Amino acid sequence: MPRKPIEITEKIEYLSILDENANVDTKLEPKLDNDTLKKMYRFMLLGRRTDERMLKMQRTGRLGTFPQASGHEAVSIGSVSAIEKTDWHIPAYRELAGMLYRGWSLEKIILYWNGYEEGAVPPKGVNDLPYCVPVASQLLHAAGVGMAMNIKGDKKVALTYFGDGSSSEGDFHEALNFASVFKAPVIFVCQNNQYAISVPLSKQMNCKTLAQRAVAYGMPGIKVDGNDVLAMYVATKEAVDRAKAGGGPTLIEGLTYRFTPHTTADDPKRYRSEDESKEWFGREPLTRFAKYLQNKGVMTAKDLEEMEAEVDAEIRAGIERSETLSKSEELMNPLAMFDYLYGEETEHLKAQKEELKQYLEHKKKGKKQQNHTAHAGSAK
Amino acid sequence: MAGTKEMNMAKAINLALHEALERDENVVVMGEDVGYDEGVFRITEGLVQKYGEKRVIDTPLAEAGIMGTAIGMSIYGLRPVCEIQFSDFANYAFNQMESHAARFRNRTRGAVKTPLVMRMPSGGGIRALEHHSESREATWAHVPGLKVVMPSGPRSARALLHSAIQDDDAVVFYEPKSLYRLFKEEVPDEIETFPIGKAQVVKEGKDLTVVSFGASFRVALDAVETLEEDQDVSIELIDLLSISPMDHATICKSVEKTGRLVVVHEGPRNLGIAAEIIARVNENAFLSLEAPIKRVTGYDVPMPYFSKEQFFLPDADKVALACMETIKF
Amino acid sequence: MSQDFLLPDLGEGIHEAEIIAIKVKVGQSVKEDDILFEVETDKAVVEVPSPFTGVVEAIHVKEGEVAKTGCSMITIGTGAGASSAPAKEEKAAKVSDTKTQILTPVGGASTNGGNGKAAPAPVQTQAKSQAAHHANRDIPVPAAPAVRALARELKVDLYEVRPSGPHGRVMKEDVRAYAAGALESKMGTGAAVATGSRPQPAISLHDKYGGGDEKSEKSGGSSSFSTPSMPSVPGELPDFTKHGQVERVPLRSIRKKIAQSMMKSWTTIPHVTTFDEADITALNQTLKSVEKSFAEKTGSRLTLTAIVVKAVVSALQKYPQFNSSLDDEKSEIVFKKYYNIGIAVATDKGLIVPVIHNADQKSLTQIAIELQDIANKTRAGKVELEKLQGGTFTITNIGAIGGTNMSPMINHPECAILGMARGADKPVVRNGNIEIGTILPLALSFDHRLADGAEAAYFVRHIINHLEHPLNFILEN
Repeated sequence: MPRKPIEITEKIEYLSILDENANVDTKLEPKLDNDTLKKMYRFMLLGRRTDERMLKMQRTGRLGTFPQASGHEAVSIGSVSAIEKTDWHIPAYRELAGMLYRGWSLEKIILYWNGYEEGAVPPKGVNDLPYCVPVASQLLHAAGVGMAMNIKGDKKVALTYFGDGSSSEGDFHEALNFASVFKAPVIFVCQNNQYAISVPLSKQMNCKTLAQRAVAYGMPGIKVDGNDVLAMYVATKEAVDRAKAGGGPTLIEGLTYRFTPHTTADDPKRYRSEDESKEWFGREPLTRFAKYLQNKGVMTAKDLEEMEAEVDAEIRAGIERSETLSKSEELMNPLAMFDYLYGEETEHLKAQKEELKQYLEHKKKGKKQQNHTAHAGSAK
Repeated sequence: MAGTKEMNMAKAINLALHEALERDENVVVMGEDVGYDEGVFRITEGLVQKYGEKRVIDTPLAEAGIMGTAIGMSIYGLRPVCEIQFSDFANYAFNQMESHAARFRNRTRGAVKTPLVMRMPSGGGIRALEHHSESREATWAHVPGLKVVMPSGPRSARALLHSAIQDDDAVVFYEPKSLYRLFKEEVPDEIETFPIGKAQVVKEGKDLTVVSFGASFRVALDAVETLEEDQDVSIELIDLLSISPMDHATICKSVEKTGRLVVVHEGPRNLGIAAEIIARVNENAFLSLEAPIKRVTGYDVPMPYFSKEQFFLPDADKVALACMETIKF
Repeated sequence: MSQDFLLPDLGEGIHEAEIIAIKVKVGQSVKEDDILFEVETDKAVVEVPSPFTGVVEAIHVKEGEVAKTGCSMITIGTGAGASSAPAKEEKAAKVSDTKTQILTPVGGASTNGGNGKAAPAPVQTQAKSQAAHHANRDIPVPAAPAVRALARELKVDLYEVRPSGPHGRVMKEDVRAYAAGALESKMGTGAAVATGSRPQPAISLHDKYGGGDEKSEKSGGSSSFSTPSMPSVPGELPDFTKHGQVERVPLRSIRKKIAQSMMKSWTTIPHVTTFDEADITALNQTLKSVEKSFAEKTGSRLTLTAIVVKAVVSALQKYPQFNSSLDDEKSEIVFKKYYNIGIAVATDKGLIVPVIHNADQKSLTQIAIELQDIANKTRAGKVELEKLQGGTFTITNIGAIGGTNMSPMINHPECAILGMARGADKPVVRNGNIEIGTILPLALSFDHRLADGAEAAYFVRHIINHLEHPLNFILEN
């Protein structure tokens, strides 16, 4: 009995349409109207500038620790622009640009990274889940959403993101497996920035590509230049069409790079060489896309300048709104921590809320007395 | 009795599942072997045949996968009733439950909800394999944002499961596996619900309060009935039913009446459910206490492999002893 | 028991330490964890806490001395009752006690947990180990939270309560009993009981008798009555001669004694009198019916007073506070275990109170005989000295004369006096009908320091029940 090779039909391709020098493969170029292209660029820009501003805020104590998104704009915008408003967007935590695109307000994003749960409340009318911190866990949610879409007979997709490190988590595998078994309309997009904090891809997996994991789960996979917004768009559109036609899930690997430390508490110089970083910074997604738009006559240099100014003003306004909101009584109220555990009030939480309330009043009284004494003292 | 049917707990839970799938098209049942095998304890008997594969789902062998996807499904609008084959394996799903099912409502200020049920056979007493008999409800009840319930018989199982399914929050539903077919009870034909967060005073008394739940409740009931026959004592017996949120008011009210309390549960003693009950009684009914509160529990060891299982479990004699010692203090 | 405390191993290979300071004295009460010594090792100055609660009996080291690890530093006496740790539960194979049955305490006297019958208990000596209540206020009283709450509510000092629970634990019933002043269960073993009662305040023959001689007055009449004097504020009385003729007679002898005695009684004893009536219709008939045969047998009359004496004894046995005296100096109540009933006899010299000793040990017949005897002797001035002493309770009867009632004065230093007025025929209501009955008015004056109104009422009722239902006499035996 000779050994017979088993044919695995799934193949992994690499897709690139707009290269780092803004050369475009016109055969593969997607047919997008100018407004869509402008919108895509605007949100990439907004995402980038917001991220940069947020870093400045963090360094001046106006924002908490947060994971920066600079460099991930093409993966995010390229894919999110391929789904409908009624589809579901289930991010990890690098999809700042995509969330803004979906309608999350700037002030909400900033509130979130400043420690307010109110920042995690999805905007009305948008089928989004908020940032997800435990890596890979959101993938199962996306799989479940996709399974529910099937059960309900809804022709929708669930678009979800994860990092290269997340692909080692059990939840990643279970999610792809479930989605594949149940032919759930899920698009799994990997922000492969090649480092899980400091751990390089070579230590994360022993495979040539991340995308080939799809083969193990019996679903299509594709590797894409993650800094190429057009390629990301095309790959995602394919996956959306496939899913809506009942073809099940797709895995898209977007190869990109983190332009910043993992979070504001990280120092990438410890594990990334200057040369490597320089090389990848040269593959920056916004630059090439801006060039492309100018080449296509979609935007002029002046338009781009104006857009920068607009975006800047938008960001400032958003920050201001968020800082006003964070001082509001509603958001400053610590007692709200008891209000959202369950659908109905429970005795033990009611009692604990009252306990905290009384404690706070007690402390307030103490402060009043201190002030009184201080005043009396200063009169001397 | 008119309007009721006699059945064991396995049948009662099965009945509730049938009823739930019937009355709400958003309810789906999912888990390992729940479909065509009808569940390893046959709890999901007849479901896939009646409601189809779309709503009665045989899942891959992945507990995190089951609960994680259930979370997604419940966010989308379904009401998944998931079966974890043995509560011991729920640990795989702990992260999804603790990080997400318990938190989505809170972290989105009520905008996103996860109305799901995680039901699982738990506890010892059936001489099972290793890792198939633990009681870890205390670990799960410790997670703020989850609800945890455990019925003690057919009627409470059927009623509590309906409450759990109709609840808009994630509910961990423990099924004491030793009770599945142990005895039968009259279960009303009409669907009834027992409110989550409420204990039941099953029997009134004045000398002592006994609180228990699950399989231990039956043990406690047995001990109390025997004691009242043989001794001149009057014991109030409370079925906890809801572990989180817990009905401390009912317990404290009873202790105010009797001044004495014994708590019985199978799970390990250290940081167990009894510890919380005792802490609350200390806070709210201290001045009524005439004796220290006693607890009859499992030990702080893994459930012994079944040759010695009976030594670990609280039995009627242990309970009776604790009761009389407390009464006589 | 005495416990030695050895210098502990202070760690890290230390074998000895210099005693820098001794923080306690011999005789001092210490609690667990109180600092006993400061010692210095090679490494540090260390505070050494007490492992015991108790009293320092002896200190074996001196300041400046170098003590070796393991040597005895101090001996502390930990009394048996000092520890408040609850005992281990005994494993009962077959549980037979119920909550309402008597709990057998370890180390404490048994008591009636409210079952009614007073268990005879050993008389307590004043030994430290067998405290009838928790006197050591340095240690908390063992009592459950519910018991403490009850004590607080009833304003009962837990240290005063006699514990009936195991290992000296105070139970709810104990607190209630204490609060209600239900002393009967505690009387026999009461903390206040001391062996060897103080002798009765000596009232000499001269004082009480006042045999009508200046001699007796001079020889020491007023010597025992050195304290309360008569109000003798000069000029307090008006000049009576202004309004008419007067005759002044020196106050002496019996009259003087009575005056002083009444003064003492009135000024030191807070008097309350409780009034009641006994329907002695049936009793009178009985007395009448046995009059002849009794006289034939004994040569005496069986009087109502004799029966009252017996009824009073019965009541005193049940309510011993009325058979007590208050020792104000020592703050002690002296419960007398003997029943000497004084009978007030009117003589032409004044009221004299001879005493029937040990009336509890005498039969009704004996009492009737003795009553007649001493009354006669007293009136004749020939009663024996001892018969005028040692009274624990007095009965005064003006019934022969008349009177609807009276408020008698207590015969100091007794607790109470029972006054009887005339048993007269009166209309009474029986079963809704008006009938003629012989009603005996009774008045009990009592020392409100020793007894309360309710108890007095019970006391009188007890007597009345015996008068109205003499079968009680037989039943209680």
